[in-house]
Amino acid sequence: METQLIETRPPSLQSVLDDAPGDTTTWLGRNQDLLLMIASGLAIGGLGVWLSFLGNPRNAGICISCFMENLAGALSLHGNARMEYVRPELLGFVLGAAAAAFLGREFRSEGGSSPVLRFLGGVILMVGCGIFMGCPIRMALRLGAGDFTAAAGLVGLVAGVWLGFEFLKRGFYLGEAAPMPLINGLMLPLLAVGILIALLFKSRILQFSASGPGAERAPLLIALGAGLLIGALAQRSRFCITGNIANFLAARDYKMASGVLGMLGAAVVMSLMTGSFHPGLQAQPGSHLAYGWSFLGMGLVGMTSVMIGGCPFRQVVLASQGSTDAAAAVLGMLGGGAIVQTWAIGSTNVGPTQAGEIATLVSIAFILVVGVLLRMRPSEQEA
Amino acid sequence: MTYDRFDVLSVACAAGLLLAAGFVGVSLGSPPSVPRVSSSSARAVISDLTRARAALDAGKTKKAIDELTVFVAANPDIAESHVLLAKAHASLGDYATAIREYKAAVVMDPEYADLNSDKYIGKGIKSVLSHGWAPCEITLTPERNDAARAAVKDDAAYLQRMLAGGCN
Repeated sequence: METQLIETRPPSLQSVLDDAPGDTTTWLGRNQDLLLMIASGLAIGGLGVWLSFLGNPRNAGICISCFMENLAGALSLHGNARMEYVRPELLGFVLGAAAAAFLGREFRSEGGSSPVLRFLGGVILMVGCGIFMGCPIRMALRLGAGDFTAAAGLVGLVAGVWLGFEFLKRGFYLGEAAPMPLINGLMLPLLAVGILIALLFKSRILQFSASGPGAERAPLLIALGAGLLIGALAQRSRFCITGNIANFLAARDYKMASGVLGMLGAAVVMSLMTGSFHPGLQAQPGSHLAYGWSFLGMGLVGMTSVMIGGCPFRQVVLASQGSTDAAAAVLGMLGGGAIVQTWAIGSTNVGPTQAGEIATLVSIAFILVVGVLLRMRPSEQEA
Repeated sequence: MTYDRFDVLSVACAAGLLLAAGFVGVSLGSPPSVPRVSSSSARAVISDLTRARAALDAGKTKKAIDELTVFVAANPDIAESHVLLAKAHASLGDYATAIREYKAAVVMDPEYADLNSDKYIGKGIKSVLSHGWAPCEITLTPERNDAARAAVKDDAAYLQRMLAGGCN
């Protein structure tokens, strides 16, 4: 696809712009990547709304940051009794993506590209999502259900992706990943299997909310099935919201934008079908009216995602196919979920908290400084 | 290593953001001290609330409001007292105050707006929001108190968002 771009960008951009080669002799083969991308978007948007219809919190049928906060609560990493549940969808994403990677012979155990910075990147992603009240997928689901307060987040996300992309263009590079023994890449899928067993047997090591968002649950097997399907599709298509936006900004590649558009379209249609489409600014579930902070929160998520090579959902998928760097980011998101809840960084329906405002500003400053420090100048690139 | 304009701009932005975070931090102040609650004072709280509830049930709304107002002044962090005050004000048709008190209660304890919780009082809140909005507007309009009206609208919008559910 964007051969020119891929060849002229630093290696870290590869993960944002990568594309699956297909059989070019048939129409299906030539358009395999496009069809997979659209299918992924449709599945995430459609199933996201359907899962809410079946019991997940409204407009949050799929939300990586909410799921991480729920998981952190279930593992007793924070004390908010309203946010404790192991979302089977999250385990499904991991296991579905891992299975698809194995079947497609794409499971590669590798890592060593600034793992600590990626871990911190994961924490920062949760800060940005916490301020906005949702990850980029939830932002799309909110917009699809007519929650126009999320529009500020969309503008912020695009601005953040643009800024992150500017850093990549100017040589930002986290270092090259190297092959590792298989067990490293398998750790996250194995962890998911262990937690799934604990969930199925309702182990005492897990906490379950009796009320609040953690108590709003779609049926376990349906949620798991939806997660497996979405995880597998996303692994094959390389679906990534921020990656799609970056591709569009870089190459005006409408094909790559098809995933995000498909997700939004499916969310609108399913919201209309399930009666959950309520256009407007008022009475929107899980939202606030602090548009400036929504902009900054999603801007932070966009910038960080591009610089560490994928949105929160993409990090989960990459970690599931053997990337220990992405696994560091995922563990950072888990730790971030605990921090966001414990330090009251996450916004509520009232609006952002002061702790959240400080965390957002400091996080943006941190990312900018890291961006400057890890830029490879032309002379260094030549060397 | 050479630095260009992009670096300088980025670092300047980072410094500005840190400065802004510092200002927000300074305005944060010290956390409120949490008073120790002895068993005797807990018993007194329960007794006061029971008395106010009984007055409300008996239709002595003014008396209940008086008792609850004194109680809230001494114990501002007990959500149930705000719920009782909201109910009392709603029964007198003072929907603006009822909305404010319901908001105070839900901010302290989101379970009041949670459909899955035993504490759920969404029906009462919805009633105040739906039946109370027009009288609330009429009450506030003659005084031309736009700031007060905006505050009530904000509180009502918050309650609507909470009742809508979602992950928060």
